[in-house]
Amino acid sequence: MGDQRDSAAPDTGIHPTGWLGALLEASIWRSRVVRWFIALLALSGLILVISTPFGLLDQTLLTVVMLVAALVINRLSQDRLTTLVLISLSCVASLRYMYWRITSTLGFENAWDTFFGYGLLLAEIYALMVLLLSYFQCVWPLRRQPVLMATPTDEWPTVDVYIPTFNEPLSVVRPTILTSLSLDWPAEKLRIYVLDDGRRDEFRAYCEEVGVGYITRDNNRHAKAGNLNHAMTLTDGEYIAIFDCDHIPTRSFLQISMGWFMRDPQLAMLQTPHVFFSPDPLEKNLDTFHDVPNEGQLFYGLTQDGNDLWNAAFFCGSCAVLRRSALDDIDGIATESVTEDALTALKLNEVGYNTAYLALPQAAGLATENLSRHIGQRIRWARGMTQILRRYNPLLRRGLNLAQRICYSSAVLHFFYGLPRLVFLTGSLAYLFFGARVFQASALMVAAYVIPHIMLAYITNNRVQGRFRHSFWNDVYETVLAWYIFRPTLSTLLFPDRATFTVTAKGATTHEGYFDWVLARPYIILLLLNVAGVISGLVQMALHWDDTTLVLTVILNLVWTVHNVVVVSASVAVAGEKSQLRSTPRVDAHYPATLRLPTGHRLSCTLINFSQDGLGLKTNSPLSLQPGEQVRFTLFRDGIEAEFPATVAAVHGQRLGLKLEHLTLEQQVEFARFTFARADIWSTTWHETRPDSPLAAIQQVSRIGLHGVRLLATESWRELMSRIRSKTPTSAAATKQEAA
Amino acid sequence: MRRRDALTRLLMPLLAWVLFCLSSPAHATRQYDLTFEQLGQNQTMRLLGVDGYKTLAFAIPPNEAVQQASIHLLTHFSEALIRETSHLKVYLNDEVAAVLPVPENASAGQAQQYDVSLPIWMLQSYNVLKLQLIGHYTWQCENPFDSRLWADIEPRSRLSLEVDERPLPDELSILPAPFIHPLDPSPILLSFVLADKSPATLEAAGIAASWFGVLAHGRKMQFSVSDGALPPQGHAIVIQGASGNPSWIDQALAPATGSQVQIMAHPDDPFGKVLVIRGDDAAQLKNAARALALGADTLTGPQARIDAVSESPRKPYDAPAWLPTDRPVRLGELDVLGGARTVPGFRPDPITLAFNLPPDLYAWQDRRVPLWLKSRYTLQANPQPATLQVQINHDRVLEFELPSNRDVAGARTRGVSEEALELPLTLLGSRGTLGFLFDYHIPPAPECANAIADVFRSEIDANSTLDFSDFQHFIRMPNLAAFATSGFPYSRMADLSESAIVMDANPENDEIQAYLALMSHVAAVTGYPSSRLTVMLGDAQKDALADKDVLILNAGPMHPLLQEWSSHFPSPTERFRDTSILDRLTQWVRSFAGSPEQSIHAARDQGLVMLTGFRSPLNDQRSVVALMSAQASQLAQGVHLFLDQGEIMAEIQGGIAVVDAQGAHSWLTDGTYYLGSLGTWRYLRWLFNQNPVSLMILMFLGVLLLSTMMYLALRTQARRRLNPPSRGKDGRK
Repeated sequence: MGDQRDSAAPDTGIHPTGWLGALLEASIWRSRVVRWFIALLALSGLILVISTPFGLLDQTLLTVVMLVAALVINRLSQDRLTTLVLISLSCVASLRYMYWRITSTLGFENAWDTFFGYGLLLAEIYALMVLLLSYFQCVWPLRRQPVLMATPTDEWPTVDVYIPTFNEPLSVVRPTILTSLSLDWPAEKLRIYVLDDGRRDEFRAYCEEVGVGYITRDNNRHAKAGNLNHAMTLTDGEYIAIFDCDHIPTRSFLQISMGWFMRDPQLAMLQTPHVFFSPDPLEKNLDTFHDVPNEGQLFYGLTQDGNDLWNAAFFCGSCAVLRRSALDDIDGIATESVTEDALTALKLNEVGYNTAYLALPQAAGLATENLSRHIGQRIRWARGMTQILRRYNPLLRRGLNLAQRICYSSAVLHFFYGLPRLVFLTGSLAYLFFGARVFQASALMVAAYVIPHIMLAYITNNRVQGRFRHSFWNDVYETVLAWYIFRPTLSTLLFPDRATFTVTAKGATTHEGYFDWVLARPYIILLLLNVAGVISGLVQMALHWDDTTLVLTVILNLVWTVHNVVVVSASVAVAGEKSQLRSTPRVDAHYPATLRLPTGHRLSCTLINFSQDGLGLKTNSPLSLQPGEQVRFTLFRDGIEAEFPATVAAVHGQRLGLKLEHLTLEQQVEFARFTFARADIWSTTWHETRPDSPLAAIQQVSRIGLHGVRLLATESWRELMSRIRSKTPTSAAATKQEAA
Repeated sequence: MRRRDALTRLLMPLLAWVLFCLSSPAHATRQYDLTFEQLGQNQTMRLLGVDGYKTLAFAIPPNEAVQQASIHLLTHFSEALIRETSHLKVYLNDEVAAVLPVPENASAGQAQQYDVSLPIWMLQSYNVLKLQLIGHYTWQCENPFDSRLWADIEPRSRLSLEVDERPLPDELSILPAPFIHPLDPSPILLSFVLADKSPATLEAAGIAASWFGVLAHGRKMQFSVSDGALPPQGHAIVIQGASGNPSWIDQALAPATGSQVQIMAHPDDPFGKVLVIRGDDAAQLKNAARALALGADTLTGPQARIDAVSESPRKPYDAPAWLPTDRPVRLGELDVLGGARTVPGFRPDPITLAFNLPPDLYAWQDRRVPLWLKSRYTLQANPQPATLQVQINHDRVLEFELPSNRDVAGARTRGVSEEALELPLTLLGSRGTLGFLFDYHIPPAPECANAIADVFRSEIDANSTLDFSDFQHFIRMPNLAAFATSGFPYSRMADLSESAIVMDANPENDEIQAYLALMSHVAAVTGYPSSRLTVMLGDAQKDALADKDVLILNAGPMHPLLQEWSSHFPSPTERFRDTSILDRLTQWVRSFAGSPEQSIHAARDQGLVMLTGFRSPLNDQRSVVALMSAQASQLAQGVHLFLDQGEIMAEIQGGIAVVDAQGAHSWLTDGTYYLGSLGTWRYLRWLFNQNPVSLMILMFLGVLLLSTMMYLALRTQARRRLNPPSRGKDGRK
């Protein structure tokens, strides 16, 4: 590969420099024999390390050495080699723990211990597998850079843009259509189609008005996948770009993503990240929007980029471009799973096509607006991935290489966290309530083995994914979904055909804040159980203070249980739904603008946020405008400017709220082009969250947990009061009636 | 069991003896006074229930006619027993020999004494004495399992016999009688008469002594050695090589050549027997001794000529007394102590099995020995299940509930359990007992309920297995404990074919006596005579020692070999137990003051005998143990002391031990080495377990190398992904 070192697409990421860098470029490493020999030698040495048992003293020493080494290595350099060293060290610590766990802690003496002990062990094995698989996936994020179209525009291929919709209101779809119209691509080679499975006249009329294609069909078979496949029979573009109806593309989308198709003739699919300009329910209810990376950020920021190294990046249903000829080879979009997107990528990889991922946000959308829909969406993904496991088991299918199998398996396996997470959330209670000894080892010994396992995984993950997921937040995200996801995955695993497809409706407004008692029920039960566990542990400690063994065991279990309490109470906080003020969420921005007052004066100001029907401006000095007054404002991009009329909606000192009314169609398109469709609009703010710091994360999660407990207390009080109030006269009568 | 075997060996020549008796008028009177403990009953005999019983067996040699027999019982009775209906029945060979009344005022403190004379006409060569309590505590209906129904018989109770002894015939088939007497509780005395002190003679004597060691079954043994002269009376073993004929033997023996084993009367003692082992040269002499040791069963008549002795070569660790470690062992292969694998009664005695193990089995990381235990027992209607307790050396190690499964093949009331258990190897040690105690929970039955009879029977199936096949032979040396208790490392080959015993150039009789005692001890441990041992005297040829484990016996001036090897002697690092600082200080000073030889002498002279072990300077897989005394008599005394007294033997540990009349003192030493093998992988893990810092270095090295290789591979993969071959390039490639 040396001859390609100078070619156009260099590997990004930080690499060792100086003598080490030179050493790594030495010609001896070109020999596979040398590399394999050294690797196998190292591997057998490490197997020896993993399988050599230690006594308490030696193991404690090893724990200290490993922790210090990991911390030092982490600070040493940011290059990829150091990351690999840290990952390897973490693997050694975890495998060493698991070897010891399996060989030395399982001599259970009674049925209860056996039940709890093996249950916990299986959960731990699952967690370890997921850890190792995620290391594999994230070991080398490819960080592909965009390739520009090199050929003259008349040689550019034709592209169909599909905007599938089912029941979303036009107001949600409109900006997507408008910005698609402003995509930078030769007009004669770009066709935009709205694929309306809702068969709504309103949509047909609008499409005719703006001049985009409108496609319907007489059935809804195979839902979105069927919709897309049906459209493919009617259009003929060489490439197909797909946007969910609420994903608003930037104008540069095609320019940036098409280049790779020109460069790699085997490339069948290129995916770009999904980003959201509205907070998802967790961000909204925990108030962490733009502060803590959300759940999807790990996947789009790291996992997909890591998969790309292994040629296993997968299609996510939207914000992607596909090659029609490749899709034809696999009979169109897959329909055998409710996550048709991932399966489509799997099938493309199977027949030998490449898939790619470009970590450059070129579209943005609306996040699910409340917890129940968020959960519903994750259940759908989990079901879909489980169906893939049953029907297209990536380990057994032909055509995939080993790395691809591992990546797809990891993606599938990831969704089985429900039951293991519940086991971890209740595991310590087996001892605290029933005295079940799930570890046949002393507490100190367990600590000496488990600390490097957990701590090195934290340190390594902090380094590898810190920008995309903060420490402990994984626990929160999984805990929120664990109860809801484990039953559907289990039932789908057993009966893959029972899963049904449900569309996630978006754009609804939560007008009033409320506490979702029904969804919160499992968290509340888990919280109460764990709190009871803490109390039970404290009582046991107080009663047997002089029994050192017991006290140590209780302390170990208490640390675990307190962690559970924090994480579960944070989940309780998620159920406290906050109100959503605007039906069309605004996008934060910072663009220059000018404002023309009714008096005719022009003054410069800053665009601070916008939505499709409104915007916020910040002026240099307070203005004396009244709501209802008509103004005009000008936006700029690349030296072009455009002026739009607006109505003043609110004035707060220097801040000015404007409402867009009575825009012509051309003006609407133009407004979209100056706002949503700006090339850099999403990429500049992506990953702008705070960097991860484990201590800060603990504090933050704990604070949120505290908030959750307070919320639970006040909501319970309110609920109790309202029941008492409503019960007094009426319910007595009601019971009488029922009795009669 | 073994006693019975010995007995049948005595019964075989019965006919010959009867004929002989008729022709021989000489006889003498002997008196035996044996406690029940000496007869094998170590614990109090507890008789429980309405008709509980216990038995005791003893054998009488065929040349002894019993004139008088009596038992002296020391008995305790429950106070609740009703005098009129309760009594103690004494059975001899299943016939009632006596009925003993329960005393008027049974008091717990004082033993009730009975002298019962046994009818001598009931005596046979193998006798079973059965003591049964017929007990009642009420005139009304009663609970047969009532805890008030008991009587204890102390193990100090005695059996007294007066016998008329007749001379035995000159017949080889009676061996090992008269040297080993089944009834005589005193130590077995073996008088060796050596015609000369050549290595061959000593080897032959050692083989003979080891054979007696095998047959002695743990009874104490005494040796006396004389050069030439027959002891004035009693039995003797004569080792007759080519030279140095004692004058009397020429007259007594028919002129003969070749290997011979002969038994004859003592010229001066009509009851004494002389066993002669002889050969014209070293090879023939040893052949004769081996013929005795390996094939005594086949020797008949007064004299046997030995042509050749066939013996298949032994393998390491195949000693008959040691449990095999290469396959699962059936519990049926283990000796049952004091009875059978089936015990009667609702509160049965433990079923006790004896075992010996190679001392070098290694239990790293507390590995456990799988025990697959099948047992049968009586099922009760009682909901509370019976339990089975597993004991090691009489201590409880685990206990489990017996399920209510019915034994398909057996009766309705028989239960069967199959349980996979694990025993800690460290508790088992190299020799000990495995006990199985069935515990039936008899509920307190209301009186006059339908009383069930005591039909309880408990059994450990002979096909239960104990599996040591997963354990490796690996031992830290020097290890004098393994030497003292198990003769290790010499006993590794049961025939001592890889051992050499080095003695002084002209050993004194006492030194030889110590040697014979050690040989019989090793054979008692292995259950196999030392048929291929090698003795070297004085300044031995070292070449011959290179592939041997060397045992050096040295009295008086230091043996030349020890002088040469004195720099290899270990020095003490830590003393076992009762370490006073002063003590250790003196020891240190002594080990460094003057020449090593002087310090060794100093240490040696502190006690009777000093033992030290070290790696053989000639071969790093071989070991040396040296026993050193200032005088030969001290050597003999010291060796007997630790062989005969278990407490002293247990105190010998580590690399240096000094035995004196009060006990032994042991020290851990430097010069540690390991024998045996764990297998490469396990050994590597063991090694890193011992050196945690090396493990850390290995870890970082491995992580670094692996990461670097991963880095190179991933970098290549990334470059490949970012520079996909275009179609044109495809064609070129």
